[in-house]
Amino acid sequence: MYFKKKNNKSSSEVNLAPLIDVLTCTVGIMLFVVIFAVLAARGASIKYLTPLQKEPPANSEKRLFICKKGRIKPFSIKSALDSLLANSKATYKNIPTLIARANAKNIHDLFYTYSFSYDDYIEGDWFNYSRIRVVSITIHELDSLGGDNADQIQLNNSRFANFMSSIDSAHNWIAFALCDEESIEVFRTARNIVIKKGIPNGWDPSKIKFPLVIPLIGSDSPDDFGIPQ
Amino acid sequence: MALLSKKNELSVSLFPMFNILVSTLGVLIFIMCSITVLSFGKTKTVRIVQQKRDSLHKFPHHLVWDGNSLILLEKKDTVRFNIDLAKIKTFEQSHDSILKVIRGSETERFFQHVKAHADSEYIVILVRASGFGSFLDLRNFIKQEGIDIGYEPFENSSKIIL
Repeated sequence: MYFKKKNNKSSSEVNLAPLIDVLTCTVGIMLFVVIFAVLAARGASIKYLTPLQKEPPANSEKRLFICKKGRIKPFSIKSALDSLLANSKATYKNIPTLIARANAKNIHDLFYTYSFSYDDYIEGDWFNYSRIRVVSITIHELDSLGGDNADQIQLNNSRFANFMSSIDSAHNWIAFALCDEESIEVFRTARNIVIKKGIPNGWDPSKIKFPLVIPLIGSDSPDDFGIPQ
Repeated sequence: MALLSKKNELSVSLFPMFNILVSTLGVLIFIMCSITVLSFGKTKTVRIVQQKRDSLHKFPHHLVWDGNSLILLEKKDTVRFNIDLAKIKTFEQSHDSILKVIRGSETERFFQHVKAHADSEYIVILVRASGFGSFLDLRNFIKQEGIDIGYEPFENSSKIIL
């Protein structure tokens, strides 16, 4: 009896069309990614709007933001000073009491702690001397990595966005203290948000380091200590 | 007796096709990695688009400050300071030091030109991060010369071209 020899190649009989589809799609996607990466690598288009330094608008309040270690956070001693003064006028007589009371409150916000000190000393020699009385505020960072990064501030419900929405562009201006290279990106992002809100702004390089001690200079008047409000 | 069906379809081995696929993917991934490394590396270029002169706006001249050298982009003139302005105690002393360094250079003539046309021209300093510490001395010098100034921060690694 004669048997026809069976062909053994049945497993390799495959239609190549789907594989070519897969190849084409993959190559297409990869080419798109490559083109995008090339465009990104060739150079950043930095857009800045005539950065001519101008004086801040008259009668507007400065709002300072510190850009450090890739993060941005607000900086203000106003609330600490409010706690110090507590609706009373500071004089040479009552300032030690006010300071003791303020320090007992352990003043802090989300990013910093504040404490006050009072120095009363004589400077000069026996015949020519002056009495120096200075109140200083010392600010400690709660966390050096605190604050928002460039991605976080772009969220609609970010602290930065909420703050920008809460302030009046006619009576406030934003000052950025830029501390390092790492923070240039967050500074640019934040400034774009501020510009979109129509708020005047400016920046300066900063060498700010914590703990930061700011002397609050006394005035010539014997009663009024002249602490900035 | 039943006959076996005869198939006329072409039989192809898939191995060469897989080779092509894997090779193509490999090459593209290599290109992608190279470009990614380049984009994060030292070759990032920032091109400053020069503003056209008109009667409504002041014309900006761009300089780059990195803490040690002041580069006048238009004329590609570089003045090296070799002193740390941040360590000089007063603005008066740093002003004198800057004057001393730029004396006789193209940059000094440039400052004099902008000063003479201060109503229609101003200077934009592109401040690299390495120049943050001493920039206030330079800014004060330029302002004392009666020249309007603007400034922008830039990364140390970016290449700035006009």
